[in-house]
Amino acid sequence: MASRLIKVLLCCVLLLASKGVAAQVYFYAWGGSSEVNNYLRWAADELKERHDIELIHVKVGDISEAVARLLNEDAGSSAIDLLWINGENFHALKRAGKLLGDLPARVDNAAAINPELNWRTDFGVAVDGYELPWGVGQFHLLVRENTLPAEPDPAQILTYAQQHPGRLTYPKPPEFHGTTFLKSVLISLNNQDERLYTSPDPDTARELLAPLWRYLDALHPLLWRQGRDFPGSAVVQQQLLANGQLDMAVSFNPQELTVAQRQQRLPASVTATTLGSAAITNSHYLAIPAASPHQPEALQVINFLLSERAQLKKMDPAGWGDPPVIELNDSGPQALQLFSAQSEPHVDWLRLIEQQWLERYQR
Amino acid sequence: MRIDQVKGQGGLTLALLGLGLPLIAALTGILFSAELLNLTALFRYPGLPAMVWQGLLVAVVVTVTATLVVMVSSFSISSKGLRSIIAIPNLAFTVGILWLITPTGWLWRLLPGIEVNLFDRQYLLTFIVILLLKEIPFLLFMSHRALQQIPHQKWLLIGQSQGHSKTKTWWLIVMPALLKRLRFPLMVVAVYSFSVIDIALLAAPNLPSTLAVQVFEWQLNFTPEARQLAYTGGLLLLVLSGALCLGVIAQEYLFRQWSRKRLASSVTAVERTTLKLLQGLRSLPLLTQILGLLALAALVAQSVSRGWFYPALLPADWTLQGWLQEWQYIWPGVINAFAIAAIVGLFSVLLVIVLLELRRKYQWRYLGLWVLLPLFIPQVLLVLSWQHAISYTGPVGYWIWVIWSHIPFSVAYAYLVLAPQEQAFDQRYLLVSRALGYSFWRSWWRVKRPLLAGPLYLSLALAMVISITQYVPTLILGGGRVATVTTDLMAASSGINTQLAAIYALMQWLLATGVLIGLTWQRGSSAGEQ
Repeated sequence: MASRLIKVLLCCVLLLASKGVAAQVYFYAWGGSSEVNNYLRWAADELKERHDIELIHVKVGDISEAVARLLNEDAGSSAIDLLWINGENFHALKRAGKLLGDLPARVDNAAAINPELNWRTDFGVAVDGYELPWGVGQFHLLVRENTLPAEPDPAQILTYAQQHPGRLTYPKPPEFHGTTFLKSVLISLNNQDERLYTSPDPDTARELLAPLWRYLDALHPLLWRQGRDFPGSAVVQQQLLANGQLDMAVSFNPQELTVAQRQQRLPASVTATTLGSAAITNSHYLAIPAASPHQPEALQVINFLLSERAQLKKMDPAGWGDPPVIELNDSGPQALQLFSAQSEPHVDWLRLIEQQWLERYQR
Repeated sequence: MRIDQVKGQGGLTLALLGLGLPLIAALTGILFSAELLNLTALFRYPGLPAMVWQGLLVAVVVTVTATLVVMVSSFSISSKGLRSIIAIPNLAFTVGILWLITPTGWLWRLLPGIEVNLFDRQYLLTFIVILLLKEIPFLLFMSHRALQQIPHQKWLLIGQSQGHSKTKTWWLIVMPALLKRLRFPLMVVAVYSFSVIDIALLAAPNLPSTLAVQVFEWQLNFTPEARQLAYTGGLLLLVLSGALCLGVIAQEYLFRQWSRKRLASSVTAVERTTLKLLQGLRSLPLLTQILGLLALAALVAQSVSRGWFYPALLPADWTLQGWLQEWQYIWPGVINAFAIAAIVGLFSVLLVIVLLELRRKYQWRYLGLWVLLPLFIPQVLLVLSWQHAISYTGPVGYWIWVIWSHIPFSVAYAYLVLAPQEQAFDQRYLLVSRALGYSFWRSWWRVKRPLLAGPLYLSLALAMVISITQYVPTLILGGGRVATVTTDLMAASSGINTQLAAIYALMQWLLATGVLIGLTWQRGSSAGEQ
């Protein structure tokens, strides 16, 4: 009995000791998708086996909760070793000097990043080596068959709304799906005006935004709940689509429809298309806090996640199905179908849209 | 009643560590950020008046309705069935209820041809209904405990012997006394309805949102303007919460005035009819329980189904795949949550016991307000200021900070349950025991503990449930080292995969209910009434 107890205790000690050997990397990442979670479980197994690194996925509902913690941390070591971010959250951390720089030089596989990928600006702000792309998002519409035409432009959307009031809507800005919908409409209404890709002066802003507000003034009374209320998120909008209350939802994951239909979260009668002829395309990124105590290991994790093996696994439509950011030698068992890409407008347009939208429609 | 000097000091230290520090940390956090105050920006923000009136309207309607329901029905309802409802975590409950009562909800699928558009997502009415469903059981539960403190059966007899009807005695004598004892629970309900975030995000309108949700969103946005708005908005939230507490006192006062007047004169015909109509509210608690159980059933169904679109009564597929896939990943979070809750719960109850003895000794009149304060401050504000304070002390260990951060919330609820029972306790029992030569705490253990066993277990259970459901402090102060079933659930609920969310919600519910029922089993609602 006693010897058995000692054995058990010894095993525990060994287990703890072996746990202590592997460096731990705390990876803060959105945990709302079982596909992403499973992919990270796979990556953790691989990293443990190949590099003796223990990757711990800290699941958060919204990555800005992690950003809040990081911004609130004083000098000293951070609890966060790695982050999955983009957009405003990245801007805030970069501005506060909280991120490790020079990543392209520190991560070997960064050399393999597809040069055609427009990753050096993130929502209009220069990346400057403070983050590396991990995957690609493409803004597109999920549309019930036989409703909207393929690749509808804003005019066709308005026409459809006039014929079928209450069947369309978009997530409420500043939720990023909602603002991206507005950016797509803005680009379309202004025929891809080049001034949308630079910071606007007040006159340009007024000139190019005027058609958007005119359009929305006409569209809103024809939307779900007469445009007096908007879905809180893309998730809610998709649920309304699934239950037949809407004919359209939006998504940023090019494989969303495939995965959703396989899991029967969306009916088979839904198809994916772009707003206008191209999808606003951006990257989502990995970044390391400057105060992370495990920077070498975190860099190794990024290097692994950008390896051909990890990127191929990530694009598998039976799993996450997220497009690769590196140039692949092997195109994979099943190449992903991507929409034609459209760049993001300059970030100042986003701020103007958010601010003026609230002033006009939230009273 | 003398407590040994040393023990008194030990208790004071304990009380300071457990409660004083968190609050002082929060208050200094608020004071040191005063440069962020920007009233102009706040009042210019689009939709601010609507945010404020929506939030206040919801809080007032929920509080007043819940008060009325409690007044008409605490007489007749057993509190046993309420326990499992109280333990349903908010998020799970909201998702379940919305899945039942929205226009494409499952309840209406049972009645084809009938369209009920009254309760949709993002309707103020839906928000109010869900809050009521959540708050009525809590309040009824508290009122049962409060009624045990009032010799209401005796009062009813006396009233009847003096020629008043039973109804009149109930309303004019018992109720004012009950309301007074429900003052703190009602404040908790009012402030909670005003500052709740998770339920509002799913159920309340968002053009504009409620003030609480808007402040939360500002707090998770990091531009300088958003920081000012978050700070100033947080203060406004705090001030209005204070106003709501005063509102609760006003409600109590008005009711007392009315009952005094009516005791002398007779009840008017209009008032009599109103009272009769109010009796209709009696069915609400039962309805609450039925809907709560249905919401639970909805969660179970969602966790094992696929392809369930309106208007299908049953899903296309039943499958255990979600459970099988997540099964091994669920347990660490469940075990962590339980372990933390056990430590937090025990410590909180100990703290409350000491505080209550000190209250007796020093006649602390405002202890309740102090203890309940953490419930009245927006949680994100509190937690971020704690994180800030902690960074000065160096990282002692993430687990310890998580446990520490749960304690103020658990203490508040443990206090709500234990304080009224303790107050009614006749301390002379202890005197007898002390006369036999036992030390104070020894006599406490031998005499008072058994007599208060019911409330003690109940407050432990509630303190544990509160700890289990903490999200923001666990995530932020735990630094990712402390994953609980609740942090897993919040992550899972942020996505479109309802099956995943339902699985974690059920596990959280099972843990919370398990704790509550396990600790109060067979002690029923009448325990501690010796």
